[in-house]
Amino acid sequence: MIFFAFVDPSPVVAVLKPTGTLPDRTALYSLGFLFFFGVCTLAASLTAWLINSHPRDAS
Amino acid sequence: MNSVEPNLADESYYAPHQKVYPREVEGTFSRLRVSAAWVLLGVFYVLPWISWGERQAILFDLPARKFYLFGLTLWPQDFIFLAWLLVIAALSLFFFTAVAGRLWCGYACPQTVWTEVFLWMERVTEGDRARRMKLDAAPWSPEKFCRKATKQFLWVTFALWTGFTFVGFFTPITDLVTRSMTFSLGGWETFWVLFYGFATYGNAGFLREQVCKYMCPYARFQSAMFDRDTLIITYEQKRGEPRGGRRRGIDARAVGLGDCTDCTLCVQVCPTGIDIREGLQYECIACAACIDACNGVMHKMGYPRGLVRYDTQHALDHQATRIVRPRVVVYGALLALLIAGFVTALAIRKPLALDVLHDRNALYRITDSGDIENVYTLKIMNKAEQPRRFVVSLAETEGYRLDPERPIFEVAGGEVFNGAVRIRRGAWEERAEDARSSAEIRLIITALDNPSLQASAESRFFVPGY
Repeated sequence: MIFFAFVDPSPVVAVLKPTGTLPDRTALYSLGFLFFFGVCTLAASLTAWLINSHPRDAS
Repeated sequence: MNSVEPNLADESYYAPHQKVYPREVEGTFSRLRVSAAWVLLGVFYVLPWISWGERQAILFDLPARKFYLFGLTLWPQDFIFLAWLLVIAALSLFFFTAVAGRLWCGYACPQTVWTEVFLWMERVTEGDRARRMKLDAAPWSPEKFCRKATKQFLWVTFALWTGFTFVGFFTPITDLVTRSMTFSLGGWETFWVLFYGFATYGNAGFLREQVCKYMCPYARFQSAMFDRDTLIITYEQKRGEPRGGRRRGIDARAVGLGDCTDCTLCVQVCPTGIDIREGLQYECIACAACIDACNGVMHKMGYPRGLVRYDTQHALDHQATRIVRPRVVVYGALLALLIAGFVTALAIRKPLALDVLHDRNALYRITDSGDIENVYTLKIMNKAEQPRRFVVSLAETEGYRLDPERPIFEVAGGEVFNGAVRIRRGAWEERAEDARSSAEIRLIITALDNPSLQASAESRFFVPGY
């Protein structure tokens, strides 16, 4: 929601890529969502890896 | 001693997953849960099909950056309303949890509702609990294949329909149907239908109680909202213990037994596979299936109902239960305040916004007559549904004038209109000491059909040597 309200990706891409066909907002918002989804997946994977790779403290 | 102690260093944090086969149960709470599922699923699947004038009643139009909620159009500038709604939703959850425990989890959470539907499909295709367990344990056979294939077909179809409906909240659903009929759906639309379809299939078909136990943050922190007056599902240990089997009609007390027949039906019907007789556990989603199961058994045995029931810790300890208590009052008061504020803010929300951008290319221009001229772009946002005409004026007109004198712009409903205006100041003004620097100006737009509807924005007027 915050991403939607504060980020309009079209002008950002227009600045970065002044020529050529711009992807539409649906695509850019989708990529934004997948980026956050990816970050969460990475965080969860890291947690799972840390739990499995460190034996429980016997103390 | 050491030989019998578990080696904690080798102990895994993960318990191997045991598949839960919830048994079907009938009773008051089961009917309530199924009714809630019907209502909520009905709302979800029917809402995108409701029209509001020329458009879909509820539409989160991301490409246009507008959210339509019946007669209301929310723009990115109205982010506060969406945030406000989320805060109200969160506080409602706190309030109802403090009063009545995990009502949300048991009756309204999408995970519970969709799992209920997927379980129903499983029962229809594979049979009751005992049959399902037997089928899973049996080697593959034509019958097993047919039953599993039918179940998968129903699951996948329902999951895809769910994904499709979800995307229908973001893209007009009638358009979506038309394009899907002609196989001309966009790449991203197809992706999201499959993504949410897969999420539904995975969560309700396979993960089920694991979502509640391991993934849901609410399950972990909901106990912070509990106190001894919160309604929870309880097992009356004093009455039930010692548990044990017995024939119907015998006096349980005479043979040294409590009312619990140890039939384990309360465990068999539990969707998270816990034993409520071991006390309140975070895995309990308060669906009350165990209450229905136990009440059925108590009825058959001729015992009073309510061995497993909704109750408070205070009531179990034979103390008075207080519904009105500080945390309930605080949550309730905050909720009432937020809802009242939200409704008021919506009611007085101005369906108009103005942004003024100074011309980037030339800060000022000297006209042939010697006037100083600045050019501005007005971004007029007409948040209303109907088109409107707006007249532009200056807040302080002394020395400044608009060119043309009364610019009028017509803006379509729900559109942003970019219009250019020029502001001039007479050259004589420059002789004044206080007019040799740039100055703040305020532009006002007024709706011609409703003069009380105004919006204003500030900018700067630049002069030579600013």
